[in-house]
This record gives sequence, structure tokens and C-alpha cells, in this order.
Amino acid sequence: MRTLYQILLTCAVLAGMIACENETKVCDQALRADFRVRFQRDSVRRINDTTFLHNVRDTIMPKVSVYAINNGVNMDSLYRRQPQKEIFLPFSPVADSCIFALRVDSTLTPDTLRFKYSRTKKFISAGCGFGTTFTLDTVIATRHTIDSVVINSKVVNSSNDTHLTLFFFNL
Amino acid sequence: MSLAAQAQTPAKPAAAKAAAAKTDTTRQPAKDTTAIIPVKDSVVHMQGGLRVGLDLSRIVTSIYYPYRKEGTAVADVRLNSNLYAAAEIGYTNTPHSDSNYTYKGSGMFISLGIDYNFLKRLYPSEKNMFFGGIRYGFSHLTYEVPTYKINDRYWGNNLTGSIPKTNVNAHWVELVLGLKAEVLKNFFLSWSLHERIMINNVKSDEFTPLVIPGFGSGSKKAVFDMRYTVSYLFPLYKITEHIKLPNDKDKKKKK
Repeated sequence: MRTLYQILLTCAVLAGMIACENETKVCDQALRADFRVRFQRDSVRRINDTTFLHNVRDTIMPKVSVYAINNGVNMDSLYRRQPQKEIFLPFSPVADSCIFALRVDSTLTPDTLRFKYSRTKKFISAGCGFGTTFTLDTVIATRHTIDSVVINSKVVNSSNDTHLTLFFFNL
Repeated sequence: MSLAAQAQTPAKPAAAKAAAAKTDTTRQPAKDTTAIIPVKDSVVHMQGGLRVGLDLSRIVTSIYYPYRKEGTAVADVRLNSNLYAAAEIGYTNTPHSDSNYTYKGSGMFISLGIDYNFLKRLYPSEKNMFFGGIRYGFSHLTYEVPTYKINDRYWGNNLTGSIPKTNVNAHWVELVLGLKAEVLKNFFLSWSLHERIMINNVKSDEFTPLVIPGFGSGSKKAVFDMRYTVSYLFPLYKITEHIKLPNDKDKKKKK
């Protein structure tokens, strides 16, 4: 009886130590789900008069600058002349659309990307509190350097997936 | 041996022999007049009653988890020599406030089930237990989020809101393994380990209750818990058990 009691006491103390995690103190999840945009370029090679060899691949843009435009006012830069192959854009949690300016090289004209989306409030965890997830509706982009746009995923609840691919002209 | 020894000793005087014959009555053969009836079984009366107690581990819990204010009472009733009907009832209050949100929750729970004592008693009146049990748990809770805030560093906007009062029922199955030791007469200390598995879903995308009374964390489907209980047995009745004694044939077989 005594041995059994000691075993159970030890197990209980160990279990208690493991279980003593205050959930309201620990935030081990990402609070923000940013919109992930990948850059690609089609380097077309002409084989003959009628045949072109398309080679679409990820590309690193040499001097990427990104900032949001809020009510016509340029906000702080998210990226400032950095070489990037992808960018992460934070959608506004209080508006159903937002605009970003994207310049992929300092000598080129910037493009604007307008995103329309719906927002959903989400309880992340006891330690993290609440966050917002987004469902993308529409993307409107100017075509100074951007050739085309492909929406890969409309649901923006984590930054692990690529949500949008931008195809650039060969400049 | 003694007779032989007496034979070898020299003859005593006749007067001494006669006196000894008059006084020594112990050496006469006794006449056994009792009849031995073989007993096939025996009746044992064990103490039964209502055992009620309090879970002291909730005091420790409230230190580690300031947002969990809980009180739990436990009770069991002996049904037969090893089987007990067990119940737990309690109340939980869950106040929480930090920079992101405030939360208010409260509710009651009850769990009903049985415990089985696996411990082989050393003597019939032993009350120590090594037991396993199963319970069904039910909880009703009310919770609300009076205020929450979603911060955004880049846009500089804080989204605020609230979640109105919501009522939820939770159901779970609980497995128990534990020990009860009688430290004073009818006074018990008990350790027990509890594994609880939620049956229904109380989670929602909008919000999940922080604590489900009697179950534990609202964000988990299964939780592990322990209890340290002090309890007192009110002896109310006796339980009769027939213990089969080994008969003569069995004894012979064993020999």
C-alpha cells in the first residue's frame, strides 16, 4: 500500500508540474496573418519564328520598396530598396480594402495593388487574445512593371502559404 | 519416553504411590463431548456509509492559475464490498483581464460514476483503497468577453469589440485511478489521477471558453488532472459479505 501510494504521489506531482502551464501567459502563435506575395518572371526564349520557350521561375527583384497608401497618404515603408523574392503585406483590420505601392527597382515606376477583402474576428488563444483573418475578394493592379496577377489562395489565416503571385515583365 | 523413564526408576514406597493416586487427576483421559460441524462459509460485516470530502488541489490550482477559482466537493457511497457510487460537484469562476481582452466566466458541474477497489483487504474492516473508476461529467457555463482589442502596429488602428453572454453545456467521460488511505478513524486522504475526454464540441471560431468547470482547459479535447482530497466517512450501515472458507477437500488437495 505504501509503495503504491508513493508511486501515485510521484506521478501526481510530476503530472502537476507538467500541467501547471498558465495558458493566459503564453502566446506561442502568430497574432497577424500577413498576405504573402511571390515574385515570378517569364524569361521567354525564341527558338524560331513560331516557337517560344517559356521559362517561368521565381525571381529576386533588386530594390524592392513597399508602402501602404491610406486616404491618399503614403505610410511608412514596409520594405525599403531591399532585394526580395517575396513580400508580406499586412491588411488593415479596420477596413475592407487597402492599397499598397510596390516599386521593384528604384528606376522604375511603382505599381499600386488594391486589395478588397472580408474580415473575420478570430480567437487565437488564451495567451494571444484575438486576431483577424481575411478572405480575399478582388485584386486590382496597375501594369507598369506587373504583367499579370494570380491569386493562389483567398483565405488569409496564416503567412505560411503563398496567397498571390505577381508576374513581371522582362525589363 | 516418560513411561520408559518411569519404568527404569527405582520403585517408590507404596504409601507415596497411594497419596499420588488420590491427588493427581490431570492425567486421566478427557472425554470430548463437543461435535465439530464443518463451516463452509463465513459472514463478514463491513462498514458502509456516505463519504464526503473536499478537493484541496483546487487551492494550489488557484495559485498557479489566478483565473481559475474553483471549489469541488466529492462523495461516494459503498454499494458492496468493492464497488462505490461516486459523485463530484463543483463551481468555477473565471475572471481574467489583460491588455488584449477581459473575460468573465462561471459555471457548475457534476460528475457521476463508479469506483472499484482493486486492493485486496488484509482484514475485513480495512477501508484503504486502490481504485479505478469511470465518470460521466456535465457542466453548464456562462461566459462573455466584455472587451477585446486587436492591435495593429503598422496601420495604427485598434479594433475593439465585445462578445455577449453565451451559455454552453459540456459533456465528458472521465477515467480515474487513485488511492484512499484511512489516516484516522473514518478520516481519509486521497490522491487520484483523472483523464477527461470531451464528448461534445464547445469550441467556436469566434471564441472558446477559457475554462470548462470540472473539465479544465476549454481549448483542449482531453485533459489530465489530479485531485488531493480529504474526506470523512459517515458510517450509516453495514454491508454483509459471505466469505467462502476452504473446505476439507481443498485443504487435502493443497497438502
